[in-house]
Amino acid sequence: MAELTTTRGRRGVRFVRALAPIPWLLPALVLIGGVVLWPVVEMVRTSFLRIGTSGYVRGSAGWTRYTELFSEPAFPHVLLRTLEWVVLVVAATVVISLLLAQLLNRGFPGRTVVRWALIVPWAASVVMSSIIFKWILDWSHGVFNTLLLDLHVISKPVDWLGTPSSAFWWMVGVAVFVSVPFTTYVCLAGLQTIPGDVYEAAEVDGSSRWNTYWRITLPLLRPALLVGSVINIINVFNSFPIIYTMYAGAGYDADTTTTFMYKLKDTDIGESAAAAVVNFVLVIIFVLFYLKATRWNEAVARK
Amino acid sequence: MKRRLMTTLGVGLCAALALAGCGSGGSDSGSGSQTKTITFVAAEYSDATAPYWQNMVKQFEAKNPGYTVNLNVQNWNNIEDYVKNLVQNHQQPDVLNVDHWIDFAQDNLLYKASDVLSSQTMSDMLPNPKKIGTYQGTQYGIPFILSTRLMYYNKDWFTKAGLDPNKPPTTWAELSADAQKLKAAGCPEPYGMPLGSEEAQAETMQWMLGAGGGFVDAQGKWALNSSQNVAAVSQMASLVSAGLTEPNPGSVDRTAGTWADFEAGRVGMMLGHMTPMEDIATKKLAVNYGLAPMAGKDGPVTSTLGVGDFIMAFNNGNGANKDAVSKWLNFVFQQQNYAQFLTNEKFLPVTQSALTAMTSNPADANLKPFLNVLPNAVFYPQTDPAWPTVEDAIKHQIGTAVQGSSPAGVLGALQQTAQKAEQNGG
Repeated sequence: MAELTTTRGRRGVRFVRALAPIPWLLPALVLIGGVVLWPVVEMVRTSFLRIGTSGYVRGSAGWTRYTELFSEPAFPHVLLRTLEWVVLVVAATVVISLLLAQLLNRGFPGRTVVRWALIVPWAASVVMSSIIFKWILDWSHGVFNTLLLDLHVISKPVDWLGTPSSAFWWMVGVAVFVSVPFTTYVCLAGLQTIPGDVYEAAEVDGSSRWNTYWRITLPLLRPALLVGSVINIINVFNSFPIIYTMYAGAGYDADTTTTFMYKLKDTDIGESAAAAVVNFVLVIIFVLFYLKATRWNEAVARK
Repeated sequence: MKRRLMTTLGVGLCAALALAGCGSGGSDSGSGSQTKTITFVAAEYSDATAPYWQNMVKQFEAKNPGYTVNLNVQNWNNIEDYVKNLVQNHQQPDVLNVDHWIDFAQDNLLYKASDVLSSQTMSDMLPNPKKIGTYQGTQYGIPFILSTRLMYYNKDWFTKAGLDPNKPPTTWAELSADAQKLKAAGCPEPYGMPLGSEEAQAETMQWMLGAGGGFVDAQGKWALNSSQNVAAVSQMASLVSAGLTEPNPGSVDRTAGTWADFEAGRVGMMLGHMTPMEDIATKKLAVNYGLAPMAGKDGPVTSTLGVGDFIMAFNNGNGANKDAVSKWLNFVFQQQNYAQFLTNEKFLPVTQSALTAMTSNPADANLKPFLNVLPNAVFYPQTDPAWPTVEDAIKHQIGTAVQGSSPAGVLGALQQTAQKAEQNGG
């Protein structure tokens, strides 16, 4: 009898012990539930609703918001633009960052100042940077046109951001500009983890500079590059402020899925929510890929 | 240990409950009892808007002890999203001032105008504006302010280009010819065409009216791709391709774009309501301009575009707010209160009493040309349930029709959007 009680008592203690972390986790759980999970549930729910332009919920829409979204005449083009946007921005960012990281890894007078300066586009808000570029490139009173006119490079002002095709390239430029600092620092950190003796060994073996870079530096940088690229892919895919701020023109030719979703909101919140769900699924795929990549990195590191 | 656990659990639970509590609520109290506190969401027309309403609320509350008006002035850029959000969460305001009402009426959220306005205010309202608030014989939208559009033209540029500064163009052909001469004289924007998302629908509709077209036909059916409309948009496109406008009108907004450029003396001709005139006067800008009816296909446009914004009353809590809402609206439409708003913001009135007061007020004398064209004004199809959707579609797409896409194609797509919205009931 006495023995039984103790077992029960011990079991009780064990149960309480298992529960013990909960109070410490609870605030975080509440936060995740309220800020992450609940909005996701609402988003999915909204995509199945018929909502008037008044905002009034008129009932269930079934899958019609999705069929409407996929039959939007602009949708295929928007998807293609998104792909173009992500590939161009991330590729340019990685290449420029590799070069910059190499430069910053060298000792030269003023290196600290350059390292600080590089942080600026990263530290500034993306919306701010976009607005600044928008006004620099303004057709009638932008400083860029004024400069080119004064230098007689152009004879009349050019509306750089007026057409989707030219605006797109400028926006890619701005996106690269704001992505480079982070990526450069990731690459720089990667470069600094490569031990000097590897390079010594390469030198002893008579490897050329290019060969050393190609055969030693790049492979050893791979973990850093992979993490940097995947984080960039997610960021650039989600990049809303640059396009939203810089391209005010008509039509959807410069839109990615993110800004397209925002424009749909004006005519139909339900369809906009459906677009948000599609975006969400795409981002989830990127995140899974990121997790896989980091795990793969660890596996490589362990070898 | 255990006690600490319980405390933490308790605190967490309370926090969760508090969070959940934020989601519910609303302004409706139990049915039967009348609420004396109402919410008023107003659109911000200018810097004078918020102070005006604050003052009105103060006066109203002093005259009606026990009644409270919670004022909420929202910028035009967010008011749409803000209100949608309120409605979706069943927290609609009691009184709202925006530019559309049909969708709220369709969802049975509004009082009839006759339920909340005194018979005196109702009979004071001019017949033409009344129509744009009426759906199938019942008035829900209470027109609040009106504007009409005229063509502004810069007389100095006209003189410089060798044109008679007192003879603005009356036909499309003359407008194009004049614009060519203005361009030759160095005018940066001979005709300002703001087709950006701010108000593309206004510019478009005025051109359509000039060709005898419009967004809807004589029977009120959507006719966005009628031959007249295709002719109008093609004419607009021809000005753009001849380099007589901003290079890409689809990205030019009205206020910060064309109007600001006109005030800076860069634009030869443009459409506008009373604001540029008021800006030029108050900022004492050196722009020597004239006003004229917009040029049409074969002669000056006789029917100018009229735009109306509305005020509307929401039936919250089964009529519980009716008394307070009604008191507030009748107070707002009292002649001296209402006329003050119009004089501040330079808008045209919807009531006979304010019209009479403004006609004799020297401060409003400059509104005369805009008032003169009001009787023949043609308004947006604001009584059509599909209008809010169509309006946004025009804002997003019409610019492409003057920048390389075929006008007939773009108008055809818009017509499809309108018909689809019609089927979906708005």
